[in-house]
Amino acid sequence: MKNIIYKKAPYLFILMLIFSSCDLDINDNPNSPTTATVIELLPHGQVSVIESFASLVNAITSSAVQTRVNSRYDNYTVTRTTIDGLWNSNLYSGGLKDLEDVITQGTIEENWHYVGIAKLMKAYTFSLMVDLWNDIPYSEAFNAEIDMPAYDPGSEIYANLEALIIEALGDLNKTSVLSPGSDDVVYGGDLAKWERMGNTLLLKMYNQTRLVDSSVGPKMESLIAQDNLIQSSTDDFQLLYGDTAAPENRMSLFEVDYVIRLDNRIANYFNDLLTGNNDPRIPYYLYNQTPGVFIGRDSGNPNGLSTFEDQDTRTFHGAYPAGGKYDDGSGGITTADLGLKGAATYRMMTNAMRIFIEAEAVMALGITASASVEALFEEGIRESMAKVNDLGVGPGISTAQIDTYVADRLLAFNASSDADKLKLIMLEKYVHLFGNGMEQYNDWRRTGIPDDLTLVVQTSPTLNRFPYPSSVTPPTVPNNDEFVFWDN
Amino acid sequence: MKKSIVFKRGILLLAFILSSSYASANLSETNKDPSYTFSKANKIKLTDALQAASENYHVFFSYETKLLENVEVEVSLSELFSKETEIEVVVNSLLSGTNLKFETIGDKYIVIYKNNRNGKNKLERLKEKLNELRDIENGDDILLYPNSKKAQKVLATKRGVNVTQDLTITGLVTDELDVPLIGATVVAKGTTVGAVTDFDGLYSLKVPTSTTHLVFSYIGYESKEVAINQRTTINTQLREDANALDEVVVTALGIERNKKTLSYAVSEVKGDQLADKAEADVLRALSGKVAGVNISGSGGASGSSTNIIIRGNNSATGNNQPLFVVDGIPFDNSTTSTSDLAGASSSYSNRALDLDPNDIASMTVLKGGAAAALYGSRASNGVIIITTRSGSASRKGMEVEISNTVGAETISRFPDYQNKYGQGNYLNGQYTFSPVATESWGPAFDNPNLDGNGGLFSDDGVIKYINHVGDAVPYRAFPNNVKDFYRTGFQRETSIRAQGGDGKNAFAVTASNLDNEGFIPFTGLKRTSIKVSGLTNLENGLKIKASATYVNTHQDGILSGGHNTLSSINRQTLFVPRSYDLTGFPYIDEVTGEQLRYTFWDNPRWLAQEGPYDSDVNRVYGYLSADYKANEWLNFSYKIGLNTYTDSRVQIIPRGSFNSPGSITDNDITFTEISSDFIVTGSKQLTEDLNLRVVLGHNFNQRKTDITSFTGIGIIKRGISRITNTESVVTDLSTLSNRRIVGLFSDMVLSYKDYLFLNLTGRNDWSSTLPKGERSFFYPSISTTFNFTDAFNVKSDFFTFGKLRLAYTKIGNDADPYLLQTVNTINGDGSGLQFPFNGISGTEVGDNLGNENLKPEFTTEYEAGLELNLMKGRVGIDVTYYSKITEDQIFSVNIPAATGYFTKTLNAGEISNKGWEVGLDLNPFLNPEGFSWNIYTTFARNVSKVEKLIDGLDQINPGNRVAAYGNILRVGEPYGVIEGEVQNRDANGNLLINALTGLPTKAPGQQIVGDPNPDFLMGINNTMTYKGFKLGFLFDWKQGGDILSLSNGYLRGFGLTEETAVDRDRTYVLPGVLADPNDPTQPMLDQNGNTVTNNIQISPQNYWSGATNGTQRNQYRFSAESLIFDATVFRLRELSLGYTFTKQMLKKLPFGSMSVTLLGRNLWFKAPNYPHLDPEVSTYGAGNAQGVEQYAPPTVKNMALNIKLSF
Repeated sequence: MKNIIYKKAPYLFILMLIFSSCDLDINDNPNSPTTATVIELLPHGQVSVIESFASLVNAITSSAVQTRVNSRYDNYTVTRTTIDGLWNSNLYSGGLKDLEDVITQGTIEENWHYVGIAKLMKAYTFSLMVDLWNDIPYSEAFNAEIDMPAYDPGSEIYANLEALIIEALGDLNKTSVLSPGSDDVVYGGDLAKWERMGNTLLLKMYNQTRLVDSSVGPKMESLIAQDNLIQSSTDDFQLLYGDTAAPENRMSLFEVDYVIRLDNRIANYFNDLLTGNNDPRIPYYLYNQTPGVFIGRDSGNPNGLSTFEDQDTRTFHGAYPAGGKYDDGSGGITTADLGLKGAATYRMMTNAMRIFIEAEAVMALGITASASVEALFEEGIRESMAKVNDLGVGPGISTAQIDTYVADRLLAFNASSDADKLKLIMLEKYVHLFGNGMEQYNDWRRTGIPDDLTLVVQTSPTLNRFPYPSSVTPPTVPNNDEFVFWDN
Repeated sequence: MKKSIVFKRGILLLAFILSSSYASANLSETNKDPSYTFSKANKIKLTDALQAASENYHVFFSYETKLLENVEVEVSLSELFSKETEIEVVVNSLLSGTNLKFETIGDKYIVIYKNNRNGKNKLERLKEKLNELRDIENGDDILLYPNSKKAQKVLATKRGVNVTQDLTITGLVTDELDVPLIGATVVAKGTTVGAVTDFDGLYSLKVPTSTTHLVFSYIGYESKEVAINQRTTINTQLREDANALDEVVVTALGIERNKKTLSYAVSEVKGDQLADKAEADVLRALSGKVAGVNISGSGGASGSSTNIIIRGNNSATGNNQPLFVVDGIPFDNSTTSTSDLAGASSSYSNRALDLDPNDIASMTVLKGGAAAALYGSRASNGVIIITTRSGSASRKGMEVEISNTVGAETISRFPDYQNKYGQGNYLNGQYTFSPVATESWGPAFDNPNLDGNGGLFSDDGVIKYINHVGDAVPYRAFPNNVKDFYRTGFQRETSIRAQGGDGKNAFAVTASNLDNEGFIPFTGLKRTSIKVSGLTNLENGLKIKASATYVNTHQDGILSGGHNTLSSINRQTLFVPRSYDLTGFPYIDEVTGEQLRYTFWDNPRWLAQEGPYDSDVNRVYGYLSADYKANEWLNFSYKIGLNTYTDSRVQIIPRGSFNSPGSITDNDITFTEISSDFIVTGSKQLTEDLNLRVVLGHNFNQRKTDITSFTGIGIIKRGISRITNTESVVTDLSTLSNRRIVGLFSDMVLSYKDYLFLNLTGRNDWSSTLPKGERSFFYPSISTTFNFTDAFNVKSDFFTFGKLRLAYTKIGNDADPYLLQTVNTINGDGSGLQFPFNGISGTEVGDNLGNENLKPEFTTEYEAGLELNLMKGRVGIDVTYYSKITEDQIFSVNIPAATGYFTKTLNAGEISNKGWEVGLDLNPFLNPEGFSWNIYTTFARNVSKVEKLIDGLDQINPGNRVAAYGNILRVGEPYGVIEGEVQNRDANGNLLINALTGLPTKAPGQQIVGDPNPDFLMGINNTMTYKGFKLGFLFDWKQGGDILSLSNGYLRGFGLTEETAVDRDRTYVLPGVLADPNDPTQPMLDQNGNTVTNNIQISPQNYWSGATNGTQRNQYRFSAESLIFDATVFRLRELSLGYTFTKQMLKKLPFGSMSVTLLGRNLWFKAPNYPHLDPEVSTYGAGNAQGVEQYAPPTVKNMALNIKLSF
C-alpha cells in the first residue's frame, strides 16, 4: 500500500506545482496606457473644454439671456446636480487635467509651443469658470497630494490668469522640441494666431472687470495700441466640429435640435428682436420647420405644450449656431441629414466680438487707441454679417441687405444718447454672439443689456452665478442669485 | 464474505449515516464444534473472528460494516472459543485492542459500536427500536435469533411448550429505491419469533400458523406491519424516517459533515424544492426558502436578472453577490451590463440562469464567514454550494427519468386604469383633446364638450377624431389597450436523465431543454443543456470523477431600460393614453418599415418588433477529480475545474427610433475561470475521546474576462441585424481583465466525545491584484459547537436534541484588477464628443487616481446560534444572531475633481450588518401512512449601517445614479438609502407653496427620502402529504423597504389611473403655506409675522402631475419625495399539488414511478402600500443599486403541469 503512495505522490505534486508556480505579475492594465504624449493630450484637452461650454453651459446661459427656451433652464432652475458632470468630468478632471498635463509634461520635455497653447486654453477656460462660479479651486488644483483643494477668490484667479497668459505668450516664442500641427484642433499650430488669441483674451478679461478694476483702462489702451489682437475672422478663436455620428463629432446643439428634437425652442424675445430690426441673418440663425412661420416660446411660460407636442412644427437653431440647415422658406422636419449635418462652428472669440469690446471700451472707458465708436459699431456689424457669409450656406447675405441693415442701425445709433449707444452696441454684440450664450450671459450680467428680459412667471431667483456641483463639498454654498466679483 | 455498503438515493454519502447500514454475520443452523483454531499472535480480520464466534456460540452480531473494515485483531487464545467461556468474555477480548465496544441485547444479540458519542447514540436508537419490538411482544423478552439453541431452550422453559413453527416465510426487504436493506428485523406479530435480513436483504422466518402479520423495522426507517395472508413470500419496502436526526450537509470544499457538528449556520435546499417550479432561474426558486437570503428580480421579462444578497451588503461599491460553487468549482454568476442600465438597455441576465434546475441535487447556503473561509476572498458575501446529480457506483443497473413541464405565464398585476377620460391636457381651464398628447387629461368620453376641443367632432352622434394615420376613429376608452399588448407566455421544459452503475463505475447523463415564450411579444428564452458525468473506482484505490456540462442559453429580449429610456417598451406601453387603441391602430408603415406613432414616443409594438436584443451564451463547465485513500486516516484529492462561456449579444436601436439613425451593437463577452484544489485530509482518533481531522489545501484560481464591443451607427437596411449593415462603426467598452489568486489553507476539527467540536481554519492568499510585496494576506476563523443534550445525556421525549454554536471569522478580500495605476484613455470621451475628432486621435488623462498602496479589505463576523429539536422532531428551532463589519473597503470614491481626478481608489470605510435568522420547523401531523403536515418558517432581519467612510466625506454613491435621485451611502444610515429631491417645508413641516403657481417649491439640495432595505423577510413553507398526494404552498412576507417608483409617478401624472379620474371637475388646493417669493425656502409672512395658508386653486392635472410649466411637469408629484412607496408585500409564491402513483397502479405500465404535479408561482400578492404594480422589482437588477423602479417590465404569475416518469 505504501508503494502506491510513493508512486502517486510525485504526480500529485507535479500537478500542484503547475498551478502554484503561476505568475502573479499580471496586473498591468492591458486596456489603457499609463502615459500619454503632449501630442495626444492637447487635442483631447481642447475639445473637452470647448464642448463643455458649447453644450450645457450654452443651454443654461442661452436660456437665461432668452435666445432659446430650454425647458429645463428657462426659469433659472439650475440645481447643484445639474452641474456635476460639467464641473467633474468635463472640466476639472476632463479637459483641464489634460491641458495641465501638457503644461507639466511639456515643460519637462521643453515642448514650449504645446505648453504655451495649453496655458492659453487653460486661461480661457478658467476665466469663464470664474465668470460662472466666482470662487473656484485654482492655486491648489491638480495636485493629487491635496485632497481638498482650496477655493480661491475669483478676482485673485483673474489676476493669476493675466500672468499665465503673459507667460504663455513668452512660451510661444521659445524654441520648442516639438511643435503642433493638426493636433492643435483650433489653429492647426499657427502660433501667431495663438498670440493674437492670448492678447484678445486679455482684452476681454480686462473689459469684463472694468466695473471693479480701474486699472484695466490703460492696459486695454496698451493692448489695442500694440495691435496684435484678433484682426480678421481668420483669426477667430473657434472650433469647427465634424459631421460624423460615429465617432460623435457633431456639436451637441445640433444633436438636440436635429436628432433628439425635444429640449429647445427659440425664445420669442430673441425672434422679436431680430424681426424688429429686419435682421438679414434670420434664415441663417433660425430654422422654421413650418414653412415661413416662426414658432417659438415665451421664457418662463408655465402653461402650454410639452416639449414634444410641437416638435415637428417649432423653430429650431439654424445653420450658423448649430451646423443645421439654412432656412430657404420651404420648411420640413429637422433630421440628422440636414444642412451642415452638425459640422457646426463654436465661436469663442471672434473679430466682431473684439470690435464690439473695443466699442464698449471707448464708450465706457474713453479708450483712444481705437477708432471712433460709430466706426467700430458699423465695423462690428459688418464683420458679424461677414461671419455668417463665411459659413458658405444658402445664397449668402447680400451687400445690399447688409448696407440696409447697417444704415438702419446707424440711424438709430446716431440718434441715441450715450447710454443708449452703449445699449445698441451691446445689443448688436448680443445678436452677433448668438450661439455663444456664455458671452451673452457675461455681458448681460455686467451691463444689464438686454435690459428687457422678462419671464411669464418667475419661480426661481435670477441666476447670477452657477451653483457648485453636488458631488463636492465646497467651503460655502452661495445662492444662485449672488454676484460674481466683476458684477455689480 | 462479500459486503456492500448500501447507498440510498438522494444525497450521496449522506445516506451512509442516515441508514447506518448494519451487516450481520450470518449464522449457520449446524451446531458444530469450533472448527477454527488460532495460533498465538495470529492476526486475522475481526469480521472473520466474529463470524467464527457467531457460529460457535449461536449469537448474532450487528455492526456497521465500515466500522470493522480493515480491522485486524490478534487472537491469541483459542480456548476463548470453547463453550466454557462466556461469549461476552470472548468478544471483550476480541475488541480489546480497538476503540470498539459491544452490548448484549435481549438473547444474544450483540451490537458492536464505536466507543464515542455517535456510536452510543446509534446504540441507543437501536435499543429503542428493539424496545418497540418488545412492546409488540407484550413485555416478553424478544428472541431475536430464535433458532439459536439457547433461545430454543429459553422459550421452551418459559412457556413450557415447544413453539410450533409451521410456516416458513421468506422475502426481501428493500428501501424505497429497491436497494436491499441489510440487518432489518422481521418479527412475527404477537410472538417472540424474529429474524434479521442478510447482506442481500433476504430473510427466512418460521412463524406459528396463528401469526397474521409480520413487523419489519430498520434503523432510520419507519416500521411497517404487513399482513401474511397465507403467503410464503413477502417482499417489502421500508420508508425512510423523515425525522431522522442525523442530517449531512455539504460544506466548504464539498466536505460532507453531519449538521449536528457544524458550528455555523448552513441552510440546505433539496433539488426537488427547486426543480419543476416553472421558473427558469434557479435563484428565484430559492426565494423564501432560506432565512437571511434576500432575492429580488428586475421584472418578469424572460431571462432578466436576479439579485441575491445574503446577510446584507458588505461592500460599499464592490460586488455583494455570493460566490456560486457548482460541484466544487466556482461558477460565475455575474451580470454584465453592456449598456447603461439607466439608458436604453435590455434585461441582461445573470449567469446562474445557465443552471438547469432539474439537475440540482441540493443547494447549500453558507451564510456566514466561518462556513466560507475555505473558499477564500470571494466567500465574504456567503457561498451557494450547488451539488448536481451524479451517478452512484453502488446503484446497480440503469435508471431513466423523464420530466416534462408545461406552463403559462401572465402579468401578475396591471395598474387600475381609469376609463372615463381620453388623450389630452387640461389647458386654459378645460380638458382639451390632443391626438399627440401622452397624457390622459383630455375630455370625458361621455361629455366631450366639443367646443374648443380641437380635433374632436361628431359623426352621426359618435364622437370621433382623426388619428395618426388619418383615419376617423371614435373617441372612446380602450380598457384593455395595455393588456392586449402583452400575450400569454408559454413555457415548456423537458429533462431526460439516465444513470447506471455496476458497483465500481457509474455514469449519468442529463439533457434538458427549456423553451419560454415571454409575455412580452418577441421575447423568450431557450436553454439546452447536456451533462455527462461519471466515476470509477480503480483497483489501485484511486477514485476518479469527472463531469462536463454544455449549455446554450439564448435570450430574445427587447429594449427595456430605466431613466430617460426613450426606447423603453414598458414605459411606452404602460403609459399609452386611455383612448388610444394600441393594438388596433396601425403601428408600422408596411412599405418603408417606418413606425407610426401617436406622439413623440416610439410605438412600442414597432419597437418590440424592430429593436431586438439577443444574447446567445455558450457555456462549458466541468471538473476532473482524483481521490486517493492512502490509508485509513489519510486521503489525497485533487480537483481541477473549468468554467467558460461566451456571450454574444446584439442590441438594435431601430432606425427612426426618436429620430435616431439606428444602431447595432455587438458585444462579445468571453469569461474563463480555471480553478484547482489539492487537498490532503487526515483524520485520527487521538485518545478515546478526542478526534482530530485536519485538511490542508492548495488552491489556484484564474479569472479572465474579455469584452469586445462594436457599435455601428446608422442602419442602412431594415431587418438585417449584422453590424456590416451600418454606416460607421466605433469600438467601445472593449476590456480585458485577468486575475489570479493562489491560496494555502487549513481546516482543523477537534471533537471531544462527539459533543464538543472546535473548528479552526486559516487561509493565506496571494493575489495578483494587490501591490507587489503586499500580495500576501492571512485570515483565520475559529468556531465551536456544543451538543448539550448529548453532553448532559438528556433523555427526554420533549427535549430531543439541542446544540449551541459560536463562531468568529475574518475574511480578506483582494481588489479588482488594475486599480493600482492611473491609466489614460485612448480616444476617450470628451465632454460627450468622441475621438478621433475630425480624424485627430486624443488621449484623456484617466479620471480615477490609482493607488499603489492598496491593501486587502477584511470582513469580521461573529455568529451565535442555537438549534433545538423538540418532541422527537415535531418541532425544530434554529436561531442565529450575527454581527459583521467590513473594514478598509476598497472603493473608488469621488474626490474633488479639482485634484484632476474624479475618483480615487482607496481603503476606507466600514459597513456593518447585524441580524437575526430564525428557522422554525413544525410537524403537527406526522403519519407516514396517513396525513402529514410540515410547516417550515424562515424569518430574517438584517440591519445594515454605514459606520464610516473616507475622512471628510459623509456620503458616496455606490451604484447607478441619475441626477434627481439614487442610492447613496451615508455615514450613520443603512446601506444604499435613496436620496432625492424634496419640497421646501417650513419649520412645522408644512409644504411651502409658490404664491404664483399654487404648487410646491423644490428644495435646493437633496435629502434622504427612503430606505430600500426591508425590515424583515419571512417565508412559510407548507407541505402536506396524504397517501400519494402532496400539497405544498409557500407564502412569503417582505416587510418594509422603500421603492422609488417612477412608473407610479407617471401613471398618476398622466391621468391614467383610477384615482386621477375622481373629482376631475373641481380644483384642488394643496395643503401648505405660501413661500417667500424671494426665497422659496422660507415661508411668506404677513404683517403680523404669521405664515399664510395656501389658498391657490390648481387643476386636477396640476395636482397629480405638478406642472409648473407646460414643458416640465415634474415639480411636485415627480420629486423623489413623492415617488417613495412602502414595498411591504405578502405573497403566495408557490403552490403545488402533486400525486405520485402507487406501484399497484403502475403495474400495467412500463414505468417504475410516475408523478403528476400542478404548479403555480406568484399566483397572488398583496402590497398594501404600493399602488398599481408589483413592488418586487428593481430596474437595475443584480447590483448595488436597489429600490428604484423605472418602467421595469412587470412581474408574472404562472401555472404549470409537471409529469415525471422513471423506468
